[in-house]
Amino acid sequence: MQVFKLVFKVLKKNLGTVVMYGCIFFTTIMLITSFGDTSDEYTSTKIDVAIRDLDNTSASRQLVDWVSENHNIVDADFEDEDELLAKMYFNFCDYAITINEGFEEKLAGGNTEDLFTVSKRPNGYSYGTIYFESQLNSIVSDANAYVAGGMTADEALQKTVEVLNSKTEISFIEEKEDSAAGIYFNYMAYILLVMNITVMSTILLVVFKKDITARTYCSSFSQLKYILQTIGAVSIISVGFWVILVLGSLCFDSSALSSTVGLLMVCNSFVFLICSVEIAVIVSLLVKSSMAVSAISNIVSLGMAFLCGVFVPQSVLSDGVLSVGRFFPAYWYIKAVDSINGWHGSTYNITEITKAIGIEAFFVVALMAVILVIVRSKRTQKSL
Amino acid sequence: MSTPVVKIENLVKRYKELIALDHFSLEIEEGEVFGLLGPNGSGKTTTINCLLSLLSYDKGNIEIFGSKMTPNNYEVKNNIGVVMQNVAVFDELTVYENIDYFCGLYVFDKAERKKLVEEAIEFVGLGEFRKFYPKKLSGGLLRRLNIACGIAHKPKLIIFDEPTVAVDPQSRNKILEGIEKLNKDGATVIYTSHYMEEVEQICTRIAIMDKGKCRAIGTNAELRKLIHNTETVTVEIAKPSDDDMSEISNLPHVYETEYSDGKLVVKYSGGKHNLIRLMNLLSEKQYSMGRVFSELPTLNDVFLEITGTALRDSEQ
Repeated sequence: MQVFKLVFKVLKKNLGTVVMYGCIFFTTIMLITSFGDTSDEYTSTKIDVAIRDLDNTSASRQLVDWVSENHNIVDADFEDEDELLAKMYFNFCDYAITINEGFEEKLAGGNTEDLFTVSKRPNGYSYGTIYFESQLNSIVSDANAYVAGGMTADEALQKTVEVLNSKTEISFIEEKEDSAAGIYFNYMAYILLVMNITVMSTILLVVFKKDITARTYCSSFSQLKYILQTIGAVSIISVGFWVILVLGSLCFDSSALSSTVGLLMVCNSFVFLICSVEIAVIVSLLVKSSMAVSAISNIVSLGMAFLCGVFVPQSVLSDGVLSVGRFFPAYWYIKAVDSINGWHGSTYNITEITKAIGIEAFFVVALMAVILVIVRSKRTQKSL
Repeated sequence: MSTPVVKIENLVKRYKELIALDHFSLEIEEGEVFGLLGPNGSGKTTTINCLLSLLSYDKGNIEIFGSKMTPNNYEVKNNIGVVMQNVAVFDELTVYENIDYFCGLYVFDKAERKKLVEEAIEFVGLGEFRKFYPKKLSGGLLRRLNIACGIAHKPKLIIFDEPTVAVDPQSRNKILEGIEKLNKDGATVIYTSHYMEEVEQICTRIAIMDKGKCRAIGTNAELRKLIHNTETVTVEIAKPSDDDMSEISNLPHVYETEYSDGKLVVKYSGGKHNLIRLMNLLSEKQYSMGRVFSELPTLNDVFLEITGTALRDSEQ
């Protein structure tokens, strides 16, 4: 079992990388599942407003009432400008507004000039203040329109405020909630690729280094044993990684694996595991140094993750990206994950799931064929 | 007559149009240190690779220990040790683990292997470095580790393919001493190199290879006898006149004279007292002489005469 043990010794040397990727993966999933929960309710933005009504008419009071209903009123001494500015500077107040005398009269006459005097924070605008200003402008222009239509200023302002206060109920298109285990299996595509390419390719590169292989083939240790022991060790390691990752899903959802959905995701990830190991073998056959493995690992795994919808849902990817992504197994893995979870417009459909996993299995065969072609071509080159 | 350890008959190896080995034949007897001498591209490594079944060949036959060498002849392979031109060890394993791994490809018994690994470590003098990783070793120590990995299982036939390339003189001597010791302990050695001094120093028989052919084969002394030159005398002297040069050329056994850079070079083929006769003639002509050298032919002279180019020149 010399070669078998050797593979594990080489793995031991690369264990740091495995642990690093594992930690990053688990932390990322934890962050996504903890903070990624989006609510389906909206709340209006409220800012802190100081208001002074110098007009004190029915119309101006309606405006004061509207402001107090929709924003937070703060007390301020408008006579002491320094204090007002200090309040704004220290974020106790976002906006100060004085309703000037003659507000109602001007509004009734269709004059919208100098209705208010405003003080803003000296260090500029916030999203909230811009929104508030836009609301004020809207009130003035709408009220002006109603006045032009024959209403009194008081009626116009009442109507405007009424319209402004009316709310539209918004409901989301039916979208199934993203389960933690589902998210976990979704991102597993990336981690399987990056870990297998980085670790397996490095191991294979070491074990099948040209001079070492020559020395081994000179010995009384058979070539078949050499290859079989390497395949055996690499298979155990990759399946070991996969089992740890699959069991890791239980940390996020203890019942993740006990349902049909869980079993389908396990099955899907296993087929993808074989694909990723085969990709790692191809990389090890084409690359000459472990430095290059690291670069290729990132290019392949990140490239596939972005093109195939690991990081961004397939439903929001452009047709062009998706048509390229189709040529990679990760696309079909994610397609199966979406279908299993009923995400992103997909519905749980066993035919679709089987089809996606079946195409992944086809990739397993195709990648194996590529490996055999490369090995054969390398042998021919060697014998030349 | 005993069976030769290695028997190569009419070996032909082609790389498309290039003939790397052209009807190459060789026999190596037990206990020999056999040198394969030739410039880069002469076919030394190809011969070794064919011998070890790492390369297939187009024609010919190879027998080792009387048995036809094939990729699956593990019985024969068990008795062969190989020290490759490039250092072939694992950077991920320590010195001890490396030797243990390669020894383990031949010896499966753990206790026996442990003993053999310890002996190999002691043999190459890496005792204090056993826990070192190869990246921490100097070039010379790395070469010694490479040798230890090839000989730990105590093979009967050891093949050294240019083991001293890029090695400092001290480590080179240590390696050459080690090879002589292995031979004294009973191993038959095949040693390929393009360093003639090394081949002259340790090899009992030498084959000169050039362009895939065996140009000459024999002991050091036998090879020297194959060539015309038996002695070269060099004298630091002012340029002799044409008449005097002609007189020197007519001395007995002289076959070539040349004057350049203040040196008169006279080459002899056979004969005795050649130096005295030349000195007498030059004294008689009242030439004042500087240093005088008399050299016996070297392997380079042998190579030069047999292949038409000096070994060093053909390296470039």
